[in-house]
Amino acid sequence: MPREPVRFIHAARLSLDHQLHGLGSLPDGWTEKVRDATLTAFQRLIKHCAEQRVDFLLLTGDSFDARDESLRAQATLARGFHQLAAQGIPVYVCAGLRDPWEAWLPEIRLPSTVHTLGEAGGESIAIVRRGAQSIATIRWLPREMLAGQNVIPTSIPSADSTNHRPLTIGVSCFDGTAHPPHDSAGESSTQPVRDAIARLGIEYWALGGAGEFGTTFDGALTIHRSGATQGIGAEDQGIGGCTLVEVPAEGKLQLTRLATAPIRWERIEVTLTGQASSSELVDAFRAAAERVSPAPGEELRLVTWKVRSEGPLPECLSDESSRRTWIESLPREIGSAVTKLTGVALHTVALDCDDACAMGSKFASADSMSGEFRRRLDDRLTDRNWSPARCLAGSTLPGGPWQSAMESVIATLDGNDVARRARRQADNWFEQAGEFAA
Amino acid sequence: MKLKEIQIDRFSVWSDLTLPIRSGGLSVVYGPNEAGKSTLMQFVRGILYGFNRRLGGKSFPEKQERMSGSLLIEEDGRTHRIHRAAVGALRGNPCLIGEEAARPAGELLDRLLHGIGERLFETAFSIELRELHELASLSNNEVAEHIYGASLGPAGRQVLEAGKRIDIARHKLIDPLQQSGHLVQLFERRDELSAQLRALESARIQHTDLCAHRDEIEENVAELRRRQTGIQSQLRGHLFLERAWGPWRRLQECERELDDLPEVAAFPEQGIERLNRLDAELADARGARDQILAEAKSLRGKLKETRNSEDIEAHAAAMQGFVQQQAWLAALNQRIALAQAAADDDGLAFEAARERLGSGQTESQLESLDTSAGVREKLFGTADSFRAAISRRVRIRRECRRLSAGCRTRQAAIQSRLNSLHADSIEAAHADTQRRIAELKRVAELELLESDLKRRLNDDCERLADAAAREDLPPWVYLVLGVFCFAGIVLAGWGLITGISTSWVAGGIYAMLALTCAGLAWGIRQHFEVNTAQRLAVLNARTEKWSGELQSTRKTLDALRGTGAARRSDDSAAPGLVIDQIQKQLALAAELEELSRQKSRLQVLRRRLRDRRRSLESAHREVGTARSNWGDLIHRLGMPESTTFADACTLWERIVSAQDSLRQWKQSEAAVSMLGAIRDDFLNRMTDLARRIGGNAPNQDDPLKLIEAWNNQLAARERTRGIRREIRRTIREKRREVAEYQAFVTDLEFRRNALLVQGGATTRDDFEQRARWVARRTFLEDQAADAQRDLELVSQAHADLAVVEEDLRAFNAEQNSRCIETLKQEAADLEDDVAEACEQLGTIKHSIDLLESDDEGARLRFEREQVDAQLRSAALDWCALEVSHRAQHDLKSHIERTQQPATLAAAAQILRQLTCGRYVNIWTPLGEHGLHIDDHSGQSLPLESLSRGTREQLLLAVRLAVVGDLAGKGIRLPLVLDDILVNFDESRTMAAVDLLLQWADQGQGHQILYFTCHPHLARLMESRGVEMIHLPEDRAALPRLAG
Repeated sequence: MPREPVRFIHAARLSLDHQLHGLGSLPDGWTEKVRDATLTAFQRLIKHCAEQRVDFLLLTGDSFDARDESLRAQATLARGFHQLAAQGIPVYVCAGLRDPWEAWLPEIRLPSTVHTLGEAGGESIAIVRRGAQSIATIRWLPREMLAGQNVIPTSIPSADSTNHRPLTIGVSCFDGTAHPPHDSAGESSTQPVRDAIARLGIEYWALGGAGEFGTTFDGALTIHRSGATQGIGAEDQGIGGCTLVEVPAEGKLQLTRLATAPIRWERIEVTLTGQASSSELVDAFRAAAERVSPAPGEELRLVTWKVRSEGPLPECLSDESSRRTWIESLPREIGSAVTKLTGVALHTVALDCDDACAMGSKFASADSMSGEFRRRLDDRLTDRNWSPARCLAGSTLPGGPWQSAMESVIATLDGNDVARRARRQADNWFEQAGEFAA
Repeated sequence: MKLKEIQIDRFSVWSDLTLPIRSGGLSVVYGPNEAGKSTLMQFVRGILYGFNRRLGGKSFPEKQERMSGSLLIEEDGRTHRIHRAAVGALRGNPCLIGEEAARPAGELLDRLLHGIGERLFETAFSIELRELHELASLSNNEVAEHIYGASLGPAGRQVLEAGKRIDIARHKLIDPLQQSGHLVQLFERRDELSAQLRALESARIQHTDLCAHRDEIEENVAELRRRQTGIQSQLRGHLFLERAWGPWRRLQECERELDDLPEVAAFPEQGIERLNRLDAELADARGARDQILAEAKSLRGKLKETRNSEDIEAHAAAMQGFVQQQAWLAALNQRIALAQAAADDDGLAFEAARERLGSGQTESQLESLDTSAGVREKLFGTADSFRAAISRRVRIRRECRRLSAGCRTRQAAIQSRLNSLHADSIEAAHADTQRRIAELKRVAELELLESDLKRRLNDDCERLADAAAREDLPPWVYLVLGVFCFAGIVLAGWGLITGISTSWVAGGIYAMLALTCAGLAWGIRQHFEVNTAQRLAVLNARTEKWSGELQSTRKTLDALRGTGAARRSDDSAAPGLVIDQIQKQLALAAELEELSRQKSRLQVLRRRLRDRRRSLESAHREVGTARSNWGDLIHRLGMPESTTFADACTLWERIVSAQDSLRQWKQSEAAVSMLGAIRDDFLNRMTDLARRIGGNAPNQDDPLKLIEAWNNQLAARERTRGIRREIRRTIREKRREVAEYQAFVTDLEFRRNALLVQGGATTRDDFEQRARWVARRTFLEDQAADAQRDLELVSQAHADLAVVEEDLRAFNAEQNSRCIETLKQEAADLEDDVAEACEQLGTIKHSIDLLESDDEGARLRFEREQVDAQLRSAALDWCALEVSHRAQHDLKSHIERTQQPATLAAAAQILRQLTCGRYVNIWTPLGEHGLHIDDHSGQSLPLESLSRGTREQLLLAVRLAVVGDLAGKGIRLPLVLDDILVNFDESRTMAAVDLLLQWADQGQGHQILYFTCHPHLARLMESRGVEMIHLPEDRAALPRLAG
């Protein structure tokens, strides 16, 4: 039986009014734009819905972050829903880990065209209609069901007695790393879940939660994660946006990425083949930046540079202070050129050098004191009981006024980052100490 | 080096003391308190290193007190007595006494002490109990070098420096007290932002309250609207009754009246109106018919009276032709006048142009002149060439003048400077200056040599005087020599007497003694005097040599000064003057160089001036040629020969202008003639027509008047003809109208009779009565129908309301109006309430919108996110620093435990022995001058935490280790210990004594002097076979042991 043609937009992680982090010192005039970036992305999403004349909008969680306790976020969301309602576009929305239903303020009213999925006492299956014709059914797939627990799937209501069958959509919301379809541990662990989904007749599985934009085709099942409409931190690389899903009467679904984010996070790798001078480094950076095509509506690009060098690093990247000075000069060196070419402003967030070159210390020979130091440092860092939190014990902080604050900050740190930083600092110290001793 | 004897002439409490000491092993010097033990130790130090006013906190000696004494020292089997004497605060100079008296004592002392400094000696070899207790005494560089090692080495420095940097970085992030640092600032800022964000919680609460209030108001509004609906419903009912009752009542009345009216069947519709209309139309038609007949009769009479002249009728077409050309003729007259005026103007313009030419040229001459573009181009080209030649000549002439002036100025400047230098030429002045510089340099060299020779001569004279003074033997030597001589003479005499009187052997002995004394005295004197004479001779020879060279130099100088080149005035004896003169001459030479360069530039200028003059001659020739060409051309053009370029241009323009004016004038005259001929022909034709119609001939000056008259006549004719045509047409129209009216009257009469028959009447009155009945019935029926329709409309407007006959019958209009008023009032009140609630609702919604769009929270969270990012980065740094700090601490500890200096390792062995094995290790923290010890259980203790006795044992061990270290390098100095075991317990005292004995035995070979005032210690040591030296209690009664 042919399908009823349908087109809708799938978006997730609007994170309205949630603030971007890890920006470094922004250039003048950008603060307000960055602060309102998530709201701007949402407005663009609304605009896409109108322009694409979609049948409905599907939001798969994390529309805002409840920890922000932002009125503005939920009010903006409601206003957007009202705009869509005025154009006759219904919205199907489910709550994510960051915006549980309990956090949705009852006093902020949503229009009747908004259908909540998975809310306690709310719908778990919704039927989307175009006039009297049902064009899609949307089913909320709770975590318990996917985790293999004993949750009996509710049968999907039968479609209208027409010659066309509606599209069947499954919706769930998990963080990407824990999600079965994207579990890299092995196919076997995810296959039962996929089989269960397939038995439910689901053709399009819309995923929410943290994770990058991506699609997996598994027979008749299309699994898609839409990614954030606006990246919040450096972990959200690439073009933030939503997905236009077009379902023809016959054939496969067509997914089109629509950009919404005004701010784009980008990690750009620069590979140096030999001993490069500062000017060659600038040229390499400029060329690498210009290779990244601008997305529609992109205004500012926040770049984390990754330098890989086969030889020794250029002088300007040899230590932290030189690197910092060089980064500060980057906008002047390449920013204007890239902006002129792409129309997008460029801002450097961080500069990482390849471990092999940054860690290939010229000081740490095995029999030197720096080598001995590095060995003892590595002994500590590679101890399986070691973690950043262990740094607190034995320091002067316990018992002090900032102990708990420090504990909470340290809990967010990655031990590998600490180890990398410690090793790099050690090189700097022993370089300076070596000069001093000499 | 070993001490063999302490001999004190005078030193503090001691005088004339001789203290023999065993040259090896341990010696104990015993004496009670204030016996002078410490003074003895200070004396030993003083002899070796110089007396010191303040040593060990005591003042030695009193002001201006004399100190002297000596030490007998044995080294490598040889003995040396080193003497030192000083007064007051002076340290005194050492000297050797005895056979080595001629040797400098300093060198010997340096060799004996092996370069051991005073401080190291006091710290390691000469130890008082008080000094033993002081750790600071070990911190002196010289001492610390032995204890802590000469250097940490590059590795140690690297570790220490890295540690310092780590600590600095850690403290920058957060200080140990957690009061300051980057992290603290960030935490404080984060707390501040969090507090501000918490303060925004009130906005959320306010939002919730406002929303609740909004909901409440909306419910109120809904309730009000419900009530409004109810009242509106009641009101509608009353209004419905009010509106329905009127039509219903009218309907009832109409139906009653209709029942009373008689029925009139088939009465013509609108009968009365139609009858009235027919009667009126009939009367009108008859009146109009009669009036038209009268008018037609009158018109026929008027037609006969209206006729035109026959002549005018015959020539009307010709007259009309001239009338039509009236405007053309007026225009022709105007064109003729304008053409004539233009011709006059052109004539005047030509005359003016000819007058401007001023050369009295005729029209034919002007017409014959060629003013084509080619001639004009040639004229201006020739003028441009002429002007260019003149400009070039002027430019070259100006340049020549400028170059000439420049040459004169430069020549004058050079000549002026040469005059001021009294030189004929630059080259001569330059050569003279160079020569004078060379002479001045020579003078300067000789003056330097002179002063150097003077200085050497003075030095040698001083040395000579000093040597003479120093080589003079002191008076006591002469006294001794005299005593020896006297003793020799006496002994010789005594020997002679003894030999003669008693025994020749004794006499011989006395004679030998005499000879010995005499020989000794002679020998000593000879020795000193010979050396002195030789040194004086050498000095005298050098002095003579310097005097000779000085004389020679002065002669040369005088000779040079006599040349005049280096003449100087009497007050110019200062050596700097020659240098000033040289600098002046050098400046003069530089100035001459500059003059030479200026002269070269002058030559160049002159060459350029010659070139430009040649160019000027060429320009003169070009100007002459151009002037000739110009004269020829203006002659051909009829211009005066003296015409300038500007005049020629102006004249050329005037000729061209005059030619143009002439042409224009002639064309205007021709146009006037042609237009006059056309006008004359027209006037002739007019005269002919006027004659034919019998009128006046036209006026030549103003023919338009005649045409105007003709035009009036034609217009009158046309009006008459029009009137006649109109009368005839009217008459025809009247006739037709009369016929029509007649037919109409007949028709009307027929229709009136038919109407009366249709209405069932025979007369008009009867017809009118019947018509009134019908009209009334129709009116009533219409009223009833209207009422019925109104009733239906009311019912349709309120379809939900039913019409009840009984209600209408019982309807009370007044009561109903009151109800309506009441309900309307209530509805208005409710509307006001709703409006007020809506207004309130709007205010609340606005407040809610403001709260919902408030971005203060976003701003704060944005900043907090950035602070969080900085915090994470800083915490990352802190963790990295902390783990690095611990690794650095590990490494430092490892180095401290495994790479300690050898001295400390030896000290650890000694300490183990002194403490009977309780403490096994001594170490010092890397980069610090502090001591730590490890006990047998591995516990580390810093020096500060040790008991007094243990502390003294540790410091003694360290000192002994230093001594041992030096001994290992071949440096063995006597060890002087001043009662350092008094704080040791018995077992450790025994151990210390054993250690000292071990050190003093032959294997170690250290000489140890132990001063004590404690009898038990003295006895203990004596019991171990140690030699005891008892210091005298009564120092004044101490016998002199020397001899």
